[in-house]
Amino acid sequence: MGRLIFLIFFAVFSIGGELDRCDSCHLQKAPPFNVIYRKYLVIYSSKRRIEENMVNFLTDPSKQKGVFPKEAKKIFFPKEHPLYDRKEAKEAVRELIEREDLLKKVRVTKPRE
Amino acid sequence: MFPSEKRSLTRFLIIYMFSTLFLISIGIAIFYRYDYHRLSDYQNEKLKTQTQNLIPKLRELHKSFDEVLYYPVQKGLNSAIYDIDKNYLVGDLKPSPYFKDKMDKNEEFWRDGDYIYYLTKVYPHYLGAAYLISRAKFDPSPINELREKLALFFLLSAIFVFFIAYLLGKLFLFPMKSALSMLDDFIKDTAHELNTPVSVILANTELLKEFYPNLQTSEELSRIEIASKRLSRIYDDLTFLKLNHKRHRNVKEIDLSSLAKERAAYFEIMAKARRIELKAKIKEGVFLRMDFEDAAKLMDNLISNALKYTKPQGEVEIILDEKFLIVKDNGIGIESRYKKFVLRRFFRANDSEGGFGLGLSIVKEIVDYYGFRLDIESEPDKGTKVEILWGD
Repeated sequence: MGRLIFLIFFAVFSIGGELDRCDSCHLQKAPPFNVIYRKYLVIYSSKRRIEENMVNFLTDPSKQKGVFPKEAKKIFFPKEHPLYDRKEAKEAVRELIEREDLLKKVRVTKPRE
Repeated sequence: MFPSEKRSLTRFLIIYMFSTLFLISIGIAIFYRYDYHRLSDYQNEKLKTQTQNLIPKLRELHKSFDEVLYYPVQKGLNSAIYDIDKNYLVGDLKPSPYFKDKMDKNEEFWRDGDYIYYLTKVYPHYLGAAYLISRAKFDPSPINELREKLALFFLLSAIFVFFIAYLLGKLFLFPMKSALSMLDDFIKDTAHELNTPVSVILANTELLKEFYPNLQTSEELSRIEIASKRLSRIYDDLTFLKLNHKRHRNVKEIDLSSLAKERAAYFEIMAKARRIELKAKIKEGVFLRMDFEDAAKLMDNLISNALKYTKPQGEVEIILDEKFLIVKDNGIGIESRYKKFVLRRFFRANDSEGGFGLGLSIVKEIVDYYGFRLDIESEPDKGTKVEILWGD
């Protein structure tokens, strides 16, 4: 019975994406993803570069690779960022980019006065 | 206005106007280039300012957490943003394949059709924008206005230059005109003074022959007659040139055959005196519409020239047919270097004989007036053949 409950829990967690694993922390202590994405977007411009730099950070985090200032790190990252393997990190980052893509919200029409 | 004066004035006007207008054109071209760039730069700067105003709006969108973000659209301006990898992101300016090339070359402004384009880099990359391309319709009216003004300026300059050139030409040609006028008057007066005594000599020669029949064969009297006739022809030539433009031509059907016979007979004495054989092959009944005096002058000048430049024992032949008149001789001929000048007034290739160099010039004037054709064939020491053709 215990084994069955464990399997059900495992299956439920497995349905969500890689990003779901990060949400718990990023919604409470760490900066929310939309803020992180905008920060990366303003610095790296293209999705390819954002992905590349985010993955680099997640697989081998360092102060130099981070995009936030030192003070923000003290507040939001009391601990070191957990390590991800490259494949996991890529998937999570792609998911993040897809979810937070700012251009999806942009309309090329004049707003009603 | 004398023909030579007219010719000189025309040449002066052409050279003066061409050189002056050429210099004015260079000035206009430089000014046009400078002002064209100034007007274009003004429109470029306007577009640049409008485009730069978009960047703060992109910043606002980037920072906004609204559900829908409205891309800044402006009237008369289209724009689009591109990421750092030159991928089109968003905008109301459709992407074009050559934009990538412009981004590679980092070209700031360019023209395509009716539009001017502006490209600027964006940093920080709000909404991911690394490049912002904008375009606005190019307003050609200031350039067209400039062109119209310059064209008007050129036209007015041309008119002004023409008047200046004309006045200068007249001023410079005044001494020549005075000299020509004096020469003309001198010729007229001289011709007039010559006419009376020559007429008296000729009339009295005729009377002497009539009253004293034994003088009919007098060689001395014949020489007097020939010399007087020659003087008389010079007078005729000079008056023809002087009064040519004023003389009324009585153009009618004339009997060219009779006239040719008469002129041949007239020159017979001169030919005999010079021991030249004068042959005449004249077809009967050749009629032509022209002024009688012109026809006589034409023949006289051709026959007289032929006799003048034919050596003793030589031969001069007059041939008249339905469509042509030929006067040919086996005289000294014309050197090839002089051929193109023989029709000019006062030109004489050979100074050994008398005259003013008017004969062929008069022939040409008459031939041109009636639209005839004049052919001259000549070889030095072999002779000259002058052919006048009319009809088809």
